[in-house]
Amino acid sequence: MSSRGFITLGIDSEVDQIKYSYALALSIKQCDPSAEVCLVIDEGKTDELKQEYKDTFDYVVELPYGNTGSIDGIHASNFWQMIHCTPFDETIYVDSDVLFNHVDIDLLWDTFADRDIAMPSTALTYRTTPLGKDHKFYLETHFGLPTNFGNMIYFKRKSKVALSWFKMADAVFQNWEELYAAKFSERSPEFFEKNFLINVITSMMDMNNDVQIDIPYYYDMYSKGQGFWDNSESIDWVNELNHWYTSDGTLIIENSSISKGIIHYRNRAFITEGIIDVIKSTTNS
Amino acid sequence: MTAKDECGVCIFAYNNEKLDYIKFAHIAAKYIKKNTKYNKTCLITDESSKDWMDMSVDSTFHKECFDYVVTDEVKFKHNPRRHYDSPWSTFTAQFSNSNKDDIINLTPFEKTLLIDSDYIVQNNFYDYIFETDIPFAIHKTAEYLDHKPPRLPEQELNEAGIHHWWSTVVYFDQSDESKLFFDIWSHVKENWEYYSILYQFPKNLFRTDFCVSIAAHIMNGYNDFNFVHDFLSVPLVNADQKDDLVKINGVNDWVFMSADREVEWKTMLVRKKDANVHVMNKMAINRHADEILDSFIKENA
Repeated sequence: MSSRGFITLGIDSEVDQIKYSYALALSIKQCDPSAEVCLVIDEGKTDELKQEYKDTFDYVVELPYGNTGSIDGIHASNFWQMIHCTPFDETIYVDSDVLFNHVDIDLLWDTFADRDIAMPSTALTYRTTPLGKDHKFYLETHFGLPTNFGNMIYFKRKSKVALSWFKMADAVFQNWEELYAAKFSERSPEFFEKNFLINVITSMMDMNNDVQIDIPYYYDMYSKGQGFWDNSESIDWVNELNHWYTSDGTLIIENSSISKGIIHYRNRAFITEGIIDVIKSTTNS
Repeated sequence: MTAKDECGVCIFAYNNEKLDYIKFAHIAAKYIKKNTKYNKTCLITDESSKDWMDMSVDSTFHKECFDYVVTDEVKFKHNPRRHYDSPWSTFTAQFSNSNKDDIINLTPFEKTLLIDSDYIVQNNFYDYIFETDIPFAIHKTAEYLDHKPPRLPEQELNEAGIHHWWSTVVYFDQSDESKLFFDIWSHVKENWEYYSILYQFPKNLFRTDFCVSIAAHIMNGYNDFNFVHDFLSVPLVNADQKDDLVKINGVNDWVFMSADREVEWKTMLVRKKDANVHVMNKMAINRHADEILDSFIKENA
């Protein structure tokens, strides 16, 4: 049986950024204590990693080609290296600002089983309605690109299809500014935009039908897709919406409860020591 | 109560000084009799409205419309509601709806479709649900005559809040699930102020729509899952209070004047044929009541 596990990127700047990857790993293990999680960190930083982080992750690996985002500080641009450093035959890459919540991990793997590389094409709001894509993907829509969510990507390490996708990612992620200028000068994201680039890659590879998959419990807290009455303003949901993370690991936002799901919470202020403690306690119990 | 009949339709009617709900209920029941298969009917009212019925409704016509009459006195609770009659005329009248949640006990039927007295059923859409094991159902969405959605507070209870469901049509059986649904409805009613704060909706007017919205939300796992049946996602069609009824072409063929909600002087004629319509402008029904009943005579229906 091939090995399989989760991988996430955690690169510290001046503050502890790895705690988000840590919370993610704890939440995955809350769902399935036997699930394996790999943390990818900056080269030469293994010794500096906190012991509790080392104890939680099953693998800690350093970026094999160095931190290609070290100069501009855009560490997410190292995403292209994930296929080259994963210790697993089958991998689910997950952004660090994601939490798993009572997810059936075996079922999740089964969902991806017949794919070489795949990512969610739909997402839910905290009210379990379909996330509005108009604003989030307005550039993709303008250019006729795929509108997939690149925050969670499954791939098979030895698949030629997946390798070719990541080969293109190598070029795109290391030359994203040139790409914006050459291909999207008319209109492009203001800054580095990982999800946009992922959709560009999928388009370049003509693989949209191959990669898109529906995960019916994938939530995204993208503000302007939540169906608020005034969509012209972004809502800082952590500060503006009542929310609780209950002792049994259910996320409640306003009157709506997410008792099971993969939640891309986006706003890092959401992760407090209190929430980490709750996840830790439910993971250990 | 003796053993309940298998299937039927209930209609509440509590008159006030402005609106003759007894009359509306008879019209609604007449449509049920004509257009639906499970068409035993029950009027639920109070003694004073029944007295008015005995005086104002021909007994033969009443028997054509209703198989049962159940009286249930409601304790008066000040609940004034502002009504429109077209965009240009308004009036305020008491709205007595505080015992709607008790319908599960009041109904003489095992399987019941509860409709508002201003809900006109011109086709057999609801027949299917009596032939299922679905415990209860309510409409999840609504649209106006011009197919536009309701205003935002009638889509969600507040901007970040739960979905707004509609209590205009409620189907239920006598199952535990149905009883739980009505228990929650009653609980919300009895703790109205608390729930108005918790779910952030205006508390001034007691609305059964808010009660069923909360019950549906809770029974759907405190979210928007699909345990609660929503009549096959078919929307409730609301003829708004600002819309007017202008012509009765036939029993199942009505013409409305639909008012634009943004620009009130803009109106559009809308013909509804063999359609189910929630005619919220009750004065309009009142104005056309004779015409409506004449259409039954003309079509020998």
